[in-house]
Amino acid sequence: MHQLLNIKDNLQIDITPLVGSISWRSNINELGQQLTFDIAFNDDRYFPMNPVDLGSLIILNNQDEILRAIVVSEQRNGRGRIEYSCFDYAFYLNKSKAVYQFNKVTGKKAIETILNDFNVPIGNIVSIPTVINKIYREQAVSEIIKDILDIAKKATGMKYRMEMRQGKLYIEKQEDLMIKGTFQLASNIQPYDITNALSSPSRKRSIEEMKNSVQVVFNNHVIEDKRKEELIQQYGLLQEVTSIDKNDKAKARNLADKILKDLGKVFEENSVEIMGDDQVRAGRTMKIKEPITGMIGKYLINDVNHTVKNGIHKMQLGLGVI
Amino acid sequence: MDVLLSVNNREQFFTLPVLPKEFKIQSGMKNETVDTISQGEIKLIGMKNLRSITLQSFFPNHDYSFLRDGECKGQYKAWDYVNMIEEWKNRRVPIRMIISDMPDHLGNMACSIENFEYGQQDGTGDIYYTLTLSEFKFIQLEQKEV
Repeated sequence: MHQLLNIKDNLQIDITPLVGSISWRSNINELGQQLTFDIAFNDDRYFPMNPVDLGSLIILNNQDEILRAIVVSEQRNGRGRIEYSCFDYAFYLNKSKAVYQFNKVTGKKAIETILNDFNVPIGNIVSIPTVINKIYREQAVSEIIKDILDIAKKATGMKYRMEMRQGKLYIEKQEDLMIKGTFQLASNIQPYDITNALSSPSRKRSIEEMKNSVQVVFNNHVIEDKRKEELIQQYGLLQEVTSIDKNDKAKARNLADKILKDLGKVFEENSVEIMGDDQVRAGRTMKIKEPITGMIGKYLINDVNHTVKNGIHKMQLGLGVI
Repeated sequence: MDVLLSVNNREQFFTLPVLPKEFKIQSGMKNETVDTISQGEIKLIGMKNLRSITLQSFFPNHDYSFLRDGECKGQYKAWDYVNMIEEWKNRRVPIRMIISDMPDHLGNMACSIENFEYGQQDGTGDIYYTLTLSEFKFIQLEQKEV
């Protein structure tokens, strides 16, 4: 059973009995997760006082902690239910702006500096060796972090995934987290794989973003040229050019390979509705087998919207190809 | 069997002077059906609905031989019952219904008044009524210092 705890002034109150529906979402392009819930309200004398207030810490549990978030907005309508919207600690990174000048520091060091300045606890940050030389002016802190990861991605082709877990920030390589979701129809029935009960699948395929030839340029000379002939034959030539600086020159081939692997494919934008599993989060990957629309294989979760209502946990997934 | 209605820990109470000739308790579940692409419809078991009951009878204007008002005998006239229920509605508090022949956990329940319909329909002065009650759950929030 999902459970919501409200923590304010060192007092933890289980507000689950008052909560109507809970939903939480994450998106691969956003740092942090959003949690919304509504709470029953009545002015009759047997009805408990509503303990939730702006700035309260809310913890969503289902045996283990799923997420913790701060209440950032409240909506009251007459005697009706009160709706709350909460963000995890990444809210402070999204809403704060800062000025930074990085001079020959590694990506990892730069990000650690920012997080320490904003008192965001660090869970784990993988090595990001790319050297950052950049000045950031009046930019949202989360944008700065994202930009650093972008620079690293451009230089090495490595993709990173940012997540808040138990109030700590983790930056890990994207391919590291494959999940296999399950659901139970009843507590005495064995769990099923969630992909067995898909509903409303939709699948969009396109070659608009495809690049099947990659050139790496250094000092106005093409030093590396990689192609996927099979895709060029089938769809025509779609070329990407990227320039590289002196430090990364040795990695040109590696970079071209990674870009080609990343962009040399038919892109998909898929969505499914599926039974809920708490592990499912944007940036993670899962296997889907759905022969009707032809979604078969490993997919990247671009966004996910969980809802728990009436004891039933469901989610809507947006899926992209890896 | 008797049906007892009371408010605020028996501050006011009465047994139904004339028992309804039947009653049924509605006790449902809020289940959902999902349409999956590979297995068709599947059933998801949701949570319990609140139970509800409709009592349909009359408040007597005469001292009939079949009255069951027990300890309240002769205390209330027909309109007094209606008055009491109307006052309970004004107070906006849950009332308690006890059906004596049922197991306690089923037959003793806190209720809210959902609807109360009453009026006269023949020359006797008896007041016929339909009273719809719904289960009322008390909520206790657990709290601890952290």
